Amino acid sequence: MHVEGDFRVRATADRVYRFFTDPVAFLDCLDDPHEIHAVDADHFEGTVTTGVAFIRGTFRVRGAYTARTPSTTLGVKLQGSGLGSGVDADLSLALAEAGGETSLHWQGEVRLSGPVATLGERVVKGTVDKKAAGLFENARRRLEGG
Amino acid sequence: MADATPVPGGIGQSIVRKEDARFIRGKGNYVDDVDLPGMLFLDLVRSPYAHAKITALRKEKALQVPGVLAVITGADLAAAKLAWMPTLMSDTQMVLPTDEVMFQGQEVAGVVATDRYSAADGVAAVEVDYEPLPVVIDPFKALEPGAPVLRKDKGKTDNHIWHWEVGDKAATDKALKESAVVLHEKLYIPRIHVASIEPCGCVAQVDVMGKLTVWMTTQAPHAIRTVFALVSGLPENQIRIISPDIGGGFGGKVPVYPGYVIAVVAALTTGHPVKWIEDRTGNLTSDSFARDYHIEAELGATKDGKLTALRVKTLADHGYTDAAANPSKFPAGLFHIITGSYPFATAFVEVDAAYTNKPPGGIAYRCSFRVTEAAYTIERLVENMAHKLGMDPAELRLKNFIPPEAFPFKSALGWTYDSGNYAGALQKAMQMIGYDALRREQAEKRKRGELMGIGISSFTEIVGAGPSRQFDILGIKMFDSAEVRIHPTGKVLARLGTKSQGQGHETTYAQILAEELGIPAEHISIEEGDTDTAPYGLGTYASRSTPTSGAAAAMAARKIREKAAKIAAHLLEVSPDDIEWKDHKFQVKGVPGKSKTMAEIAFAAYTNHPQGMEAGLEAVDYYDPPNLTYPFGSYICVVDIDKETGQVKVRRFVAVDDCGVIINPMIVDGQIHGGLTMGFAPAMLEEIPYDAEGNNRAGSFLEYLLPTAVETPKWETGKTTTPSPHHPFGAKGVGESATVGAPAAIVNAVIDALAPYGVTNIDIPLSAPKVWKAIHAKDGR
Repeated sequence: MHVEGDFRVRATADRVYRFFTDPVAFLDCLDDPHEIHAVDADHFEGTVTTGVAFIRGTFRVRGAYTARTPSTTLGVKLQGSGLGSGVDADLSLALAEAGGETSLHWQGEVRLSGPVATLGERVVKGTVDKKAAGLFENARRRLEGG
Repeated sequence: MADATPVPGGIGQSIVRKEDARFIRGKGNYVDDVDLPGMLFLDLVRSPYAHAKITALRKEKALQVPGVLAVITGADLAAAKLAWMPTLMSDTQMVLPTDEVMFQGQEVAGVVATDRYSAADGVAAVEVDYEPLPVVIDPFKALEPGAPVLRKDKGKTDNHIWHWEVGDKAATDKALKESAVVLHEKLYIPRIHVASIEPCGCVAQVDVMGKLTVWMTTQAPHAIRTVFALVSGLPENQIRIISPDIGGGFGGKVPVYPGYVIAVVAALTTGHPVKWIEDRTGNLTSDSFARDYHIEAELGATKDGKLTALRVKTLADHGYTDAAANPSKFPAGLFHIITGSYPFATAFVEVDAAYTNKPPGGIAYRCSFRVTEAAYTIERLVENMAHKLGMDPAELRLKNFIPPEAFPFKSALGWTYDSGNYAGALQKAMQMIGYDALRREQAEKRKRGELMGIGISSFTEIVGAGPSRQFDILGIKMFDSAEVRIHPTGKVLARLGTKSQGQGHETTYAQILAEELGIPAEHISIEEGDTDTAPYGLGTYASRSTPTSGAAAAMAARKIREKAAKIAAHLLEVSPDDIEWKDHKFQVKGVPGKSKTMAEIAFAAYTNHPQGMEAGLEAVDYYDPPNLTYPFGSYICVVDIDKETGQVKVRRFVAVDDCGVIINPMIVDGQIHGGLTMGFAPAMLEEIPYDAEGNNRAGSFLEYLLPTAVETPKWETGKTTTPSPHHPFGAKGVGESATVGAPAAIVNAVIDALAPYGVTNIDIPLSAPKVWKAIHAKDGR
């Protein structure tokens, strides 16, 4: 399943880049209850309690930064498992600063397995889009709030 | 049967079902109603991946969940040599994996807790690391060179399971080559699931004497007990399987599932009773499936419509293990009934089976061992041949049916059909539905561009396995049994080796015994499903109960009558030679007023039996049928199709069934109504599709579409009666006939409606988008 989106924030690319390379800060923007901690500079893990349709519960999440070009690009690999389901995602973020703002384009492929995959792409993609929008909106508030 | 005075509740009477007294009050006793002191609950961790290596399994966090007492893994079972178990087709199946998972939803570990919620929390806390492996979903690709080999544990070097063939290939090839018209068709019958409303489950208990009792949703308790004994090493007398009321089986409750075994292990290791009740998603993603046959068939005919030969090549997708519930000699079940109602001079059928990353497949699902696949294929072919020849489909069938005088009829593929009157059934169906008028209406509508179709299915079933010379499951011969005991006051207790799952055995068996013993059905109690009390039997599936246990009941009753005649002679002070059984009592020949009822004789059997004769009045019969029985029927379906949406509406459906002598017409009608609905379902709605990653895309009733009363058509039923000549009272069995016959009638009607567009096939289920695409394939919309 392909996902992608854009958001703009009144902050420098360097600040945005640093924010998204701090997994605790970045994933703290999730609306769902979560507990994330860094394992080392490139890895993080934790739990997220979330749901898609009738499949709800706690997912174990592990992540790794796969590519870094300061203030420009970032690659993130996410693996989640729980409730008999699995989520694997390869995401890339591209940053561009102009006029005091930074635009961020994110895209990636998400692979689902288990019961969550039975729900169909339209249901899951709608949920992913909604949660991503919430995450980036929260990120914008934090970045713009100083 | 020709007695003047019917016995109350005897054969042929539509008495109300005895068991409904508890069912309609919600007082049925199902496995989940079993509640034992100190009982624990089992829940299962399932694999999210269709094929993956397990790199780590950590149970520590699960064991910290309040209420969780144990986590059982494949490694734990392997230590007890229980990580694998045999399937009913002598393949092997994981109880729990130690290295690799083979399908999405596979059981990975069991969590035992003090309540269901804690068990579920424990399941969520078990940590499993997987390394995904290449997934094999398409059985054709599974057989290609270089495909990942799934069953290396068996020493396999490819994914081919078996090849099976029957018939005369050379003669069939020659006949097809010489046929003026040859029809070639590819059909796919997708995976479907029985989706019984009650999922699988069990309660396992080990008592202080070490005896294991398992209350279990099983259609075959005795066979399960034997399998448990062989797998576990426990003495068979120390195992008791109790199958209480069952909320639908349809073949899905014949196999042994990992959950049963894990619950037993949990009971043995914890010392507590352990309950496992499967949830709906577990049921739809991991229990045995049906169908999944890819069929390529050729049918030959002369120009004037005489069928000449049939050649069929099939690829069967069995998932990662062959867990079909088939007789061991027939890996493709009874698929070779595929010559159907027609006297082919020659035919050839071959089936190959492949492993894929799907759950174990190949159970019957109300189709008597692959009979639905066979009936669907031949009836679809005959319909298309009629279109190809420009003949009316009814006319083509009537021209080709095996005639009544040809029975017993030996088919080109080796079956000996017992009796039949196929033309009689089709003519009755045509009369009931007003066939000629419908064809005239169709012609008018075609002129107006409206889509109306009429489809016929004239199927022949094959049920009632044994005979034991041909049929066994894991070496256990397929007979069945009845033990009948008449109490001193003339009341009867009968126990049988089968197990009702809603078929109404408590009523129909009582009616058979009422007829045979002259005792009202209301005075006859029927028990099944307890291996400590019932005689050994192979269980209820494949429409076999009436042909086997029903026959055993009649034969046991006749053994009782033999002894009872001697007691009657003693009481009436005449020679046994002067006694005859007439009007459901023993009479002195020529002196109708001098008689004894069975109740009077029963009392004497315990109080005044002849010296030298054993007291009591009871008998046991293990009935080994001399042949299978061959129910048949003709169904006609009328559909209207909305050209703009592709929506199919079944306007009328007439089903004429012939299941031989009918025991209870009301129950038979119920069986047919249920079966027709379960035939309508796969034709129109049901399918378990998989995505490229091997994810089951129909893991709940949101996606797996069961027909409700809203979608289900109104069924119009009729009967003809052609008794089986070898069954003790002429019955044949009916549980699955309607499911076998209905899908082809519906699809044939749709194809008939779309004939003006040149459409010859749409694979089921006939969803509106598929039908719309077929309609508009040529106009580019």
